[in-house]
Order: sequence, then structure tokens, then C-alpha cells
Amino acid sequence: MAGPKDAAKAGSAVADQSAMDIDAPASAGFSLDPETFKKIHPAEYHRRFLSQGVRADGRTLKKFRKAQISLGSISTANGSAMVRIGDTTVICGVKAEVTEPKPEAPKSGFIVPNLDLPPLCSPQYRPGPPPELAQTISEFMDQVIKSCDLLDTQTLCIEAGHAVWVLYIDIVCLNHGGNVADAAMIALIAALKHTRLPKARFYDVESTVRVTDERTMPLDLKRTPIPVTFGVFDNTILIADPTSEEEPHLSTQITFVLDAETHDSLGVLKPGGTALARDVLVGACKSARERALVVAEALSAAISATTAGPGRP
Amino acid sequence: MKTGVVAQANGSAYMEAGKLKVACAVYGPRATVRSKVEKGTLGCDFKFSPFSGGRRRGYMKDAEEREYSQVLEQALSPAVRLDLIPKSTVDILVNVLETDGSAACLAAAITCASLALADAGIEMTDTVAACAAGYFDSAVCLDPTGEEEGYQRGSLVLSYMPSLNEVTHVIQSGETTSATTVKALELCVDACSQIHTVMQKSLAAHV
Repeated sequence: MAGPKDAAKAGSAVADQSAMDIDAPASAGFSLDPETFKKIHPAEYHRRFLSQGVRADGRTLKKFRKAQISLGSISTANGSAMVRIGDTTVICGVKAEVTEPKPEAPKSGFIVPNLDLPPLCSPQYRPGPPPELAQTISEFMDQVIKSCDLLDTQTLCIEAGHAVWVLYIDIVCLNHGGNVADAAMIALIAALKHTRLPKARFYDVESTVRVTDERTMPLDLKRTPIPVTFGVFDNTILIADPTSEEEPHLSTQITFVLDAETHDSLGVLKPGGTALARDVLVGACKSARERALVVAEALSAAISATTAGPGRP
Repeated sequence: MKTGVVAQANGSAYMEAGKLKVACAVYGPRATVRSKVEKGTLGCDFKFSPFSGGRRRGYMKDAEEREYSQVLEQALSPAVRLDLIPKSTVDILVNVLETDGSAACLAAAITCASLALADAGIEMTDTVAACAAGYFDSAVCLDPTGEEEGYQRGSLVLSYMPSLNEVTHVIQSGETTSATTVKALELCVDACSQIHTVMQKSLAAHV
């Protein structure tokens, strides 16, 4: 439990070394306590840790923070999940509504994922239009869902040509401690697994859909995509699961999405940044597989811990 | 009630009351962008999560959210020592995760925001506790749920500073006799004192 304290001591030991130079007139170093050093030269602060093979919060380079998953906190939603990775907290709610299908696809329902980074979660966001990061992650989640055929949208059909389900998957970040992408996608999958739809029937005469009060129908999810994110510091050092302190100083980030059972790669996101050497990528893939297993286990534990989905009381 | 839930914020609080779930973060005091005004201000932002109610809410701010943002500001400004933070803004951001009764939700938001302000160390004359009441045919009931709201004739939300015995904000909707209103006010004041005790306990636990 003394991880961060040890790390701070290591950092201050390094800072103290520069303090010792104050006697030598040749090198003009001056001493700073770790907190101040972190504020005025954050990149160097992290670099000092990484050169010793640890990170500012005490983790090793390849260590992920534990993912805590809990289902069913929001009773107004058809399915909900809360995921905590370190400080990062996101909550996902799935709401199902009825809508008319597109004329060219009369049996297909819709899945609409969206991540919201409200000003609540971090001082860098202000009220107004959604920030770029939120839009990027939302778009990536949408692509993964479509490309890996997570759910056959035809199972969302109520009456061909007249009524289909649309699943609005809304993810709200409550605390931005870094690596929101992982937390958001895990929450999305967990909430979808928890989702229960009511039985629906379309009445042609009145052109309406009636639903039962109880929600009993689970979704037929074909796969379990698990995201794993790494950051790269100074073009060469690969770190797993970056925190919000490390994120601004990374040269690039890479997110792998793996299937929990088959280990197929379902998506990779590397938004620009520096090029990665092939062996770095291969090493990252291996770590990603191990992490995906851990997360998948946590997810199934959370699902079995919850009793059957939210029914109306 | 829990404080310190948002690591990045200066102060934060999370409150659950039955099914109701509200989170609040406070950032500040920050320099006001347009600092022509000498005194400090509160920037209140009230938001419902899309999955919080029976029907999904969009991301655009609707009239209800704007109204509640204003109520937050009106209920909390008398309590905050704005004279001590000139040319600065304290941003109060409320996010409702699950709602169960709109009046109760507003009351919970005010209480939660108070807690978050205290957690942030913003100077205040007292923490504000808020309570909602609903008018039914024969009685006044405290803290109506969403289901009960369907049957009520009107509602009242009271924000109160127990240590000073001062009301910061009252809003009533619906039609009722003045005797019933007085009764509702008294009930709410009592309830607010009890809520205040719980708030003090959770703040002390965190210190």
C-alpha cells in the first residue's frame, strides 16, 4: 500500500541529487520538493520515474489498474453498469425506445453509443458542445460495435417496416483519472449484458406498440469485446493504462479491442502520434491479451453477482 | 451522502435518497472570464443524465435544466461568502444519475451542491439543506417519489440554513390554501434540520 509513497520518495531522492549539486558552483542546480517539481516540469517528473522503471503512482510500466465493475445501479434504465479503473469512474445506462426503421432496412434496429465528458469530471471541460475526445471515443465504439457484429440488429425488430428498438447507450464520465476509453467500453459491454427489454407487440389497427411492464428479454450478444489501452512516452517507453497526469505528456496512445474468448482482434485505435516499432507493438499485444482475460473474468464475476436484470417492482 | 468522489475537483459530493442519485462537483474559485463585476459569482450547471428518467433526455439543455440551474444559484448564493472571492467564479456542476420525483430531485441537488461546496472549502455562512413536500388531497407529504407526484395537487421545495434559522429559497407550484402552505413550510423546516445533521456527520467523517 506504500506504492505512491515509495515512488514519491524515489522521486524526491532523484530531486535531492540535484539539490546536492548546489554546493558545486559549476552546475547551477537548485532543489525543489517533488510537488512543486511536478507542477512546473511535469514531463521531466514522469521521465525521472520511468527511467527507474516505475511510474509516478508506483506501478510498473506494464501494470494495469484494477477494473471494478458493478451492474444495475440505475433502475430507470433498461441496463446499467458502473466501471471504476483507479480514479476514473464512468456510468453507462442503456435506454430502449421504439422507432420506425429505415425504409432500406425494414427489420434493422439501431444501436447508438455515446460518451459524455461533462465539466463535472475534470477541470479541462466546460459546459457546451462535447469535447473532441468524447466524440472520438464515441465514434470508435460505434465502429467496433458495427464491425464486430456485436448484436444482430435484426433481433431488435418488433414489426418489420413499422417498429424497431433503438438502444441508446449513454456513458457519462464522473471522474476523469485517465484512460476513459477503456472504462467507457467496458461499461458499454457490461451494460449491454445487463440490458433486458420488455416484450413488445405491434398493433396494426392503432399503429402503436404495446410493451409489457416486466423486462425479461436479454440481448443476444455475439461477442465480448474488451478494450486495452497503452500510452507511449518519449517515443519509446510503453506504459499500460495511463493516468490523467501522464496522458498530456504521451507521444501517442494505442487501444486494442480483443474478444474475451477467442482473442481475436476486434479493433485497434491509434490516433496519430509517433510511429511504433514492431517489437513494441507485439509486446503490447501480448500484454493486452493477458489484461483482456483479467477484465473478462471481472466482468463475468460482476454479472453473476447481480441477480436477473431490472424488472419493474 | 459521500464527499470527495471526484478526484479532479476542488470539492465534490454524491448523494443517494431511495432511488434518487445525484453527483455534484465544485471547481473554484476560478478567475471570472469577464471580470467587469467586482463581486464573486456562482456558476451553476444542472444536468440530467440521458438515462436518469422514464424517457431518455437529449444532450441539449432543455427548459427544465435551465430553470433548475437558476434555482440552484438562487438557493446557494445567500449562503456562500461571495464577498470573500471578488472577481472569481465558483463553478457548481450537478449531474443527476437517476431521478425519482422532480421536486425531490431538485431538493437533493441543492443539498448535494452544499456538501460539495463545503468539501471544496468555500467559505459559507452555513450549509444549505433542502427538502421537498407534496400536497395531496388531505395531507402534506414530505419527499414525494415519482409515482406519488402523479397524484399530487402541488409541490413545495424549501432551502434552509438551520444554524441561522433562515430560508434561502422557496418555490411552490400548484394550488393550495395558505394554511396548508404554512403546514408544509413547517414540516420542511423540521426535515431540513434533520438533513443538516446528516450532512454535518458526513463532512466530519471525511475530515
